[in-house]
Amino acid sequence: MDKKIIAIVLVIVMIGGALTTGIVLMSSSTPSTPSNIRVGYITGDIHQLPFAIADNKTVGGTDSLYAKNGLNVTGKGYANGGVIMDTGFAQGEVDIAYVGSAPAISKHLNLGKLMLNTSIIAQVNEEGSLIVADNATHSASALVGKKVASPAKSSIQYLILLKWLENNGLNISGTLTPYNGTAPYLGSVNYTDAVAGTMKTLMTKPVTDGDHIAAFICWEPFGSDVIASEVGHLLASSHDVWPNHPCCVIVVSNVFAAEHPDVVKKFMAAHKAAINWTNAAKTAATSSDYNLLVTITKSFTSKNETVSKMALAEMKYSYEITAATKVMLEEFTQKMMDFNLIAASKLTYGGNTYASVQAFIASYVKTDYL
Amino acid sequence: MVQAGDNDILDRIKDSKLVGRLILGIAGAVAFILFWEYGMDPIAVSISGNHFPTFSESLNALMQSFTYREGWNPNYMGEHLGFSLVRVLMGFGLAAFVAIPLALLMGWMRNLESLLFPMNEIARPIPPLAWIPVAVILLSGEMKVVFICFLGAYFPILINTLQGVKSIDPLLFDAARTLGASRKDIFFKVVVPASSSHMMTGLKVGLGVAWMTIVAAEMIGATNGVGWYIYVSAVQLGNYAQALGGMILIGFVGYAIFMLMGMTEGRFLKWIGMR
Repeated sequence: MDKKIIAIVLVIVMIGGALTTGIVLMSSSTPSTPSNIRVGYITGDIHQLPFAIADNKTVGGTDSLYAKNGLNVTGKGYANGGVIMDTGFAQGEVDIAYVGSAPAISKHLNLGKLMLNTSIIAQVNEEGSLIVADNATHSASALVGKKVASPAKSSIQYLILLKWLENNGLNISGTLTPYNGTAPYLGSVNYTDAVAGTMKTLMTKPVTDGDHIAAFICWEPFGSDVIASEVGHLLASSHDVWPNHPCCVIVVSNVFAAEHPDVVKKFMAAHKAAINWTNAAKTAATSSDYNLLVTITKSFTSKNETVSKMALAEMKYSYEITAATKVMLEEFTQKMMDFNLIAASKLTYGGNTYASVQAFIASYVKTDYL
Repeated sequence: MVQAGDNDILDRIKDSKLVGRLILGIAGAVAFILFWEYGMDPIAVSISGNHFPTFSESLNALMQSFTYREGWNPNYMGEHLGFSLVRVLMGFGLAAFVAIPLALLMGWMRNLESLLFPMNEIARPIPPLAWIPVAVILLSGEMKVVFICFLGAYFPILINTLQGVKSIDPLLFDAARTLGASRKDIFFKVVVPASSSHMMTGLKVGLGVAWMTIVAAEMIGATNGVGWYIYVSAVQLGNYAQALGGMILIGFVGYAIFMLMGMTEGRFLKWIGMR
């Protein structure tokens, strides 16, 4: 019996030792070595298609665009840009990511530079979000008292929704921000966050179902998916709200960029090549490149060919950051403050030392890598 | 009165009962599958207008996921399953490593039990998933997910093992002392073996809870694993057939874990001399 007890104790000690070793090894974040880079993106979001393009071996010819630029990429998918900032960057899981411009700005300011030391270094796309309504709703005014959804309050889609509602004399019920639009006030809508993949399901539910959403705004292809299946129809696009607005951007960890500037440059080279290839393929609808583009889109978004083509038609991919881009990012930041999504005091919070919104954008947006 | 040949008859009766139960079990499973295949979709459409993937669609999606992956999916299903199982084993192993000695000592030393039991009882009703903010603040990477799994397994192991110690017949202690056993002897030769049956029950339950918890934890804190796959498929992308396929896999693996623990329990108790 003694030997059995000793054996049990020894097994427990060995398991404990193995576990401790495993825990120590797993809990230490994998250091990024030159040419290794961890890339965050939003799963199934066609705005992030350049990631899938750059990662595709057929596009590159013999190897992916990332590999051709000497990169070893580990991709990490997330639910939305806010999560990429909160979890991906703040917890050291990613080095660079495709993120909506709104969470890229709001999370950095709200959490402070000490916790979220990042910069915007390129664009990914302009526009590309749709406001879709159910078949019983044919105008903005018909939404009074009904439920509308966006992927998250931190998303640029939410900001666009707030602006669109304001343009149409509406606001979100229960909001602390007084109505400030120029259109005559019509009333309020009820709001809910809804993960992108559930929006079609929620809109399909009967109007009498408490979960039914009468309208939503989402990144493509989720709007086109609803339209193609005739569950809903287009009410407005993000172009109608903010023409040529920057949408997704490339955000980088400043610590990573300082330690591996060459890796960031290589990433940017691959990003530019992916966008150039995508834009060229889009314009040649009968080419083999276009067919490949549709195939990659279908695989990345898990939508069928019809929806993928509809969504691609809504997309404008661009990596440039121009003076106009910066002005729009300033406008976004100010608008988020007007809507109480960012407090003005956050400009000087948690390591932030920005004298104004303009000073913030001038510092936060870097074009060195373009 | 037992007569020659009675054992054969009893064995045959026992076998026929087992066969009967097996047939009933299979019939139940077939009835469920048929209902899923033909009954769920009409019900779902009538309630919410949304289609409910059939059993065959879900199973097909599951089988495909082992050999084909979409652009958004970094791993094949076999790999996802591997990630989840590793996390379960890590969380469960850590829970066993902490809870078993702690419970044995708490049962053996009244003052230690008085010191630790109240806090354990306060923490016990808190669902493992409610600890996610704690995990997010204090831990990073894989450890967030393993911690949630650890919490799922820890309490069943602790409580059952402690109960095992407390339910030992006091006569055994008296007998051991009468035979001149020291405190150390009593602990290792009476307390540990006599509580092993309850301990194994705790381990069995703990492993099952760890499997349930790890899947939900992955939905929030991981970028691979079966739970992550289900969450992304269903919630982020709206691919319900894939999500249900993942659920089928979880069910079968959970059942396999339960069967394995049952076999291990029997062998262990026999080895330690308690059966």
